[in-house]
Parts: sequence; structure tokens; C-alpha cells
Amino acid sequence: MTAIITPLLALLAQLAPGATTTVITQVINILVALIPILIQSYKDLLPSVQNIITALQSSDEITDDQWDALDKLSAQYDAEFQAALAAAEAEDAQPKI
Amino acid sequence: MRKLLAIAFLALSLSGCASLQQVETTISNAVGVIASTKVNSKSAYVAINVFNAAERSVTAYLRLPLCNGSIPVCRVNGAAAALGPPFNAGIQARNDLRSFMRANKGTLADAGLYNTLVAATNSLQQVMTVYGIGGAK
Repeated sequence: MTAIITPLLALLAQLAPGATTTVITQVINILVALIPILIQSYKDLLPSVQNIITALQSSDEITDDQWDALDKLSAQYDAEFQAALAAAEAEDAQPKI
Repeated sequence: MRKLLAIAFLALSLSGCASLQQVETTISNAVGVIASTKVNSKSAYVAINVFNAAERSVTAYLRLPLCNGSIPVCRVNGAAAALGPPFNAGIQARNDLRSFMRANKGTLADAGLYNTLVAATNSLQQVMTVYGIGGAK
């Protein structure tokens, strides 16, 4: 899971507003090529990457349904992050034998 | 298999793959933070999804067993304390951007809030690098 995120973020974080169509097309092609790898080993990242591909491929604005679905995903991710963070901090605080 | 795929992808991103290098070079000229006052909703949507991907990766890292010298894939003691504050700041930045868009439906997103989220995501990348999140495991 973690091994793929740095190159993925490095690629995606640079997709600035105003990026050319050529750049966007190339990024889409790279992301689409990654889908089989994501399905096999990085399923947790799949919804976010698929959302990005869909958004970049469309010439339309983001729909209310897309935003609503993203809001639900964000809420789920936040809850799971906070739970994992609390559990890890609790474990870190325990005296080590 | 997973390790091989991860290494293959990293190698691809670091090697002489012409097309990928071309993309990285081209888009490096148009890096995240922007100077204009408004951004379109699609850019905000992509930025939020990028942040969410980082959040998922760190959540997976936090679920790893604590390193004890014998586990190859593990979580460093103290990483949770270091990752928590910047990620919570990123969550706040994402929610602020989303709240603005919800309150101003049909308009462009505020560039300041967008830039804050992009900057938070970039900072998170640096913290993740320190703890080896993103390194070949």
C-alpha cells in the first residue's frame, strides 16, 4: 500500500489548474495503466484514483452526486484515520518489555 | 508479488521511462500552488482526492505492527505522534475548501483554501518520507 503513494502523489500533486490538455491526457494514461496494480495490491487507493481519472476525463464540472459521494468517502476515511491514529498512539505509549 | 510490483512502479518512476519523465518535466512547470484568486471545482475535486489518497496510505501505515527489530514491514514508535498533527491540519484544510464550495455552489473555489490544501498535502509527503511511508517495503 504505502510503496505506491509517494510517486502517485508526486505525479498528482503537480496537476495544477490550467495544466494543458496534453499533460492531463498523459496523466490519465498513466493512472489508467496503474489500475490493475491498484486492484491487486492497493485497493484502498482505488476510489481516489478512479475519482481523479473520471474528473480529468470529463469536460463537465463536478456534479452534486460526485461531490456527495466524495464527502461520504472523506468522512469514512477520516473516521478510520482517527481510529488508527488513536490505536497507534495508545500502543506507542505502552511501556516496552 | 506486491513487493515486486511496488519496486517495478518505483523503478518506472525513477528510471529512464521517456513518457513518464516527459510528464513529470512538463507538469513540474505547473506545480500545485497557484497565484490566481479562484480555481475551478475540478481542480479542487482532484486536490481533495489526492489528499484522501495520502490519508488512506497513512491509515494503512498506522495499522502496521510496531517495529521490534524482527518485523520487516512495521510502524516506527513515535510516528503516530508525528503524523497526527499535520494530517489533522490537512483534514481541516480539506474541509474548509469543501465548506467554501458547499456554501458557494456554482462559483469557483477559493484559491487560498485550495493552496492551503495543496501545501498541507506537500508537507505531509515530507513527513511520510521521514517515516519511510512510500519507500519500497
